[in-house]
Amino acid sequence: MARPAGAVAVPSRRTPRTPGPGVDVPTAGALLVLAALVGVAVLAGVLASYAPREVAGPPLATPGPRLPLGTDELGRDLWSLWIYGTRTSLLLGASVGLLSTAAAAAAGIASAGTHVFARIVSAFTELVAAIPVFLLLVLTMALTGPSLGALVLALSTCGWAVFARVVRVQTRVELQRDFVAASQALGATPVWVLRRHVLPQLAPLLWTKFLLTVRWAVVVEATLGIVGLSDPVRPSWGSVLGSAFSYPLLFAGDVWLRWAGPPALSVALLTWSCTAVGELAAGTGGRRNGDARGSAALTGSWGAVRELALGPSRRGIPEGSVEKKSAGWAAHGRV
Amino acid sequence: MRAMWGTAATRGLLLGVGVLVANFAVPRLLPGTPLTAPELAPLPSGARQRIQAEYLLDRPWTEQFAHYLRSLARGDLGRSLVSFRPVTQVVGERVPWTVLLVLTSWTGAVVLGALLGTLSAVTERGFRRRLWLSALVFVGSLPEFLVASLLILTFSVWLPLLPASGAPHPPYTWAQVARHVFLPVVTLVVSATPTFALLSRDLVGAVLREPFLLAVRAKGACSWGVLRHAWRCVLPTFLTLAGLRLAGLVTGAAAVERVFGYPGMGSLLFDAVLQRDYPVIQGVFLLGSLLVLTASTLLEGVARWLDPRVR
Amino acid sequence: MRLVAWLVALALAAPAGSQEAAVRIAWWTDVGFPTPFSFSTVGPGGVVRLTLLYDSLLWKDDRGLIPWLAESWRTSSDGTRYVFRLRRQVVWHDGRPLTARDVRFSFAYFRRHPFRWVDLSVVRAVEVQDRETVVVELARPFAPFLENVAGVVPVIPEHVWGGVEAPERRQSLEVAVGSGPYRLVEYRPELGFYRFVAFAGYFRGRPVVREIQYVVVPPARQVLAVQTGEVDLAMTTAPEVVDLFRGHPYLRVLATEPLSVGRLVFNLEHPLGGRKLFRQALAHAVDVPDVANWVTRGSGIPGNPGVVRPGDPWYTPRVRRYAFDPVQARRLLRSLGYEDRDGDGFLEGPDGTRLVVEVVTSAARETEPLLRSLLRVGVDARARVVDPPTRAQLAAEGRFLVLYTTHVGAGGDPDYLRTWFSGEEANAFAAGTVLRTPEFQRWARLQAEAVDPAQRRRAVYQLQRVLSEELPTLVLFYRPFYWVYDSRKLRLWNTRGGLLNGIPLVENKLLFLPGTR
Repeated sequence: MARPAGAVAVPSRRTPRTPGPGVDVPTAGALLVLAALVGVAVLAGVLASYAPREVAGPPLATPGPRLPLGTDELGRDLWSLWIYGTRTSLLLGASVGLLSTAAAAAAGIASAGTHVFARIVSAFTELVAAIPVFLLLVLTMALTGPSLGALVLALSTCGWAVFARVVRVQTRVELQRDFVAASQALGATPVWVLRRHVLPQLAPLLWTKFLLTVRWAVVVEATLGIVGLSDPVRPSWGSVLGSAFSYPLLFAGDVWLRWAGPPALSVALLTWSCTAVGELAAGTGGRRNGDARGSAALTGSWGAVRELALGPSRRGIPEGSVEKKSAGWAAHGRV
Repeated sequence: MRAMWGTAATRGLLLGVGVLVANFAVPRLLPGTPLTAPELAPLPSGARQRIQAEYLLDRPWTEQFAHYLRSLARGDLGRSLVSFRPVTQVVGERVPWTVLLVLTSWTGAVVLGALLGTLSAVTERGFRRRLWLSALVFVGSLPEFLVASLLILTFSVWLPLLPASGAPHPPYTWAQVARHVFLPVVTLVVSATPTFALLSRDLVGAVLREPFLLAVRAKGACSWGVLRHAWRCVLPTFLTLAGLRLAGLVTGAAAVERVFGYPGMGSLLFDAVLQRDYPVIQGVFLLGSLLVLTASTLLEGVARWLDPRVR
Repeated sequence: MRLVAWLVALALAAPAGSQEAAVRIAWWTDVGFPTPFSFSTVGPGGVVRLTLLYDSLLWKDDRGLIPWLAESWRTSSDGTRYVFRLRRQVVWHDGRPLTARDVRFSFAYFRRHPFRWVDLSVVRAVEVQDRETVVVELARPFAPFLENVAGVVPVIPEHVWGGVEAPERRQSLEVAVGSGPYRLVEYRPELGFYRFVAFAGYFRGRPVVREIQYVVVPPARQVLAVQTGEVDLAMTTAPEVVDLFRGHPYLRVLATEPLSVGRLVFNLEHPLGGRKLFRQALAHAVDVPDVANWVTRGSGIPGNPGVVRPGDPWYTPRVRRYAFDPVQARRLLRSLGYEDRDGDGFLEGPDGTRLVVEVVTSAARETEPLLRSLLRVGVDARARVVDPPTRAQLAAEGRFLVLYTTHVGAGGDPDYLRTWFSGEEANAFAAGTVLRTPEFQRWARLQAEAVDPAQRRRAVYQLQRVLSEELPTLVLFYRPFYWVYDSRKLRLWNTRGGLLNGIPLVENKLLFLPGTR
């Protein structure tokens, strides 16, 4: 069976990965788009012409003065809804990303140390994996009501456990290195070791995890909005899409373009830019053996899973067993 | 070897127990039941008493749980609290539709992904490939409702070729069913293909760099031959990993099913949650997991059989 | 290329034949197996579909009650005794004749296994005088009896249901035997698919439409489905559909009477909700015509505090009115101890806590205009968005102050004025908390028991007046349903007062029978 890519150095077949940030045109575009979206979110108050829930005109109005996109069925300005929706969705994505990544990092590093903790994490992971996330979210929303805060917490809970395992594997890999043992012999504390050796190597992984979680959270929020479970108080891409899709005559005229178009396009753009920037993030500071990192960036934990599947031969780590594969794969599609 | 099986078995058992408990507890944590909510399904007193008696709904949780386990052992999954039909029937009639949707989508995505991935692994590297790869990943990470809506727009509104709803109705001619199922399948295939494409790309790419294959190529074997060799090595792993994605599709297709109105287990679960139909919720989880377990075991068996290492 | 062409041809090949002969109707959900014991009560779709399979003693057309299974009837002068003379030659789907015994059996059976759309507690006894004569004795006079009971209760065959103990579990084609114009031939629960085939032996003649099919289409795409020809009849509440199909060669839109109502339900057991002044204050605080206009986008009528819709035959204008008057609202709230003590624009109670009114709803968007209205008066109004089961739980347990609900049934016989507030309403969405004021109870009882029509009318008018005073509910709007249909296959009209008791659906079986408009 295939041996790990790292063990066989075949330079000629590999795209020469530049050690520094390889910014080419698409990636630059993605950075711009991401920056633009963040800018819109920050400057929402300036860009929007109306307050989030303010009535701007007659319902379902066509574009006119001060109403570049027209209004929805409650008479609210679609342009302002989109602007404020960007802010809400990005905030949601960022919060979930932060919480999720931090939890994954902490749990992963902690479980690299002790077996017990690792067992707990893996048990939790498998339990969560057994219940489909989407349905779990529906249940949670039914329990707590569709508030943004509850959604953030729920999404963070679902997203961290699997990646914690990836972090754990990576941490252990780093800890096995000779120079770590050497520095420990020289009297370095675990914290120092963590800061100097482990975290820098984890950084690309964590960055990609963050960006992909943002992407995932925004998409899930939008999907929940479609089925009517978005927070009614704050407009978000999901709630605008939800209201659009519940309008029975959405596809009858051109209103779908003005109503569902902007949030849908934004979700797509955010998805793309997060992916591309994630790739960039993985490229920087990556090790020489960057291929695995590259893949990791492209598909997040999937790349790490591939590594597990092919079996890293780093000393001390057992060959990728089916159980590891299953954990990683169960995660895929979510993060 | 035995130790591995032992721990796997215990883990499986614990997982099973955990799932059972969660299965039982979660629906009951939700506010509102069909009985206490007269608005939802006002039951005539006779039916109400019958259900109360059968499910011990006014008894403490521990009694309910024991009763639940006992019925499970008998294979009795109870009756729907909304339609009064046996849960096995309610879930069972959705199984063929789910199987149709999931199997078709998964197979399609696997085949397409394998093709695309292999193509990507053997062709030129560079800017065009990276662009193409990015496009693929982008499309795959689009939310499914977006893909679904675009498809509906294209095929139901602009070119009225296909029906707007995914629920087929009799007469079940192949053409009829195909027309209704087409769009949901395409949606799922679009979402799942990139994953498999990348998977196969990496697997095949890694294998192609192996010394023994280089030797085969040096000996002058044609590219088809090389690919065949490569795939023989890769197939078991590929199938195993692809099979794990199957689990997600069974109930994860819920959103797609909802958008299209497709009669699968995902939308059944969704509706059951909305109506607090405990027995059906539990039944879907149970039967769904059973389905997935069967499928992945089969798949793993096939993979092991194919694996040249095992022989 | 060949392959593509073949695929396209496959795609375009609609199932031939069956589409022409059948009328296909879209509905948003499955409605359960169509017997009186297992049909779904989530929405009116289920009970209406029953009427294709089963008949009742009376029926309704576009002008009112008409004889159906009963070709004539007599009422005693005290209103407690009804003698129905049944039509001859009525047969069940399996060929057996329908007799008075079946009618007696139906009433008796429904006492033990209640039919969820009708309250039969008022029926004391049912006797068979001869093969075609049934006598129904009531415990007390019941004015809505003919429309709400005789016009709704489905007559079921004794030879099928006699001795059956758990009728809701019997769900097979063999038990779906009725006397109605259609037979159930196929039912697929997971698809919500129904196939009804015309019953040749129907007493009004074989139905003109040979086959009726029901398919489930998600509500947001029902209109699309009619446009593409997938279905021939679908419903929407969006008024824009009228303009959309104006001038269309064959698709038409029928607006029903505005029988769907949106209203606020007050919890009369709540310390604040139980105060009449509070309810009246809110009535002044809500700009009802504005809210009605926003939610229905011009298709609805503003709500009437007396509950009955303007335009309804039982409507009276002599009820208390609540003009949109924020000043008056604040005055009333001040008399309860709520005023703006700290100048923040919101009202606070004597202890300084803000007045927060939480509106429990499942339709967040529809309550937006309402909340806006209340906010302008200084009431901190918020929506508590919950899903329907949770809302039902909160309603059942009385854990709410104000609840927003929409439902059908605001038409037909005015007895709903009583049932909505006495805990007897069959349409669960329509139920409210119980109003115990003696005046209400007196008039409610009087109108239900009045024998003389003029007396009843007076009582109904008084009831409206009392309701407008007490305000157990604040009606916001009445709106119609819009039915989009293929006029080449169907000719639609509105049943007067709605099907059964105020349901704005159009599947009146008369549509499909020969000899009707």
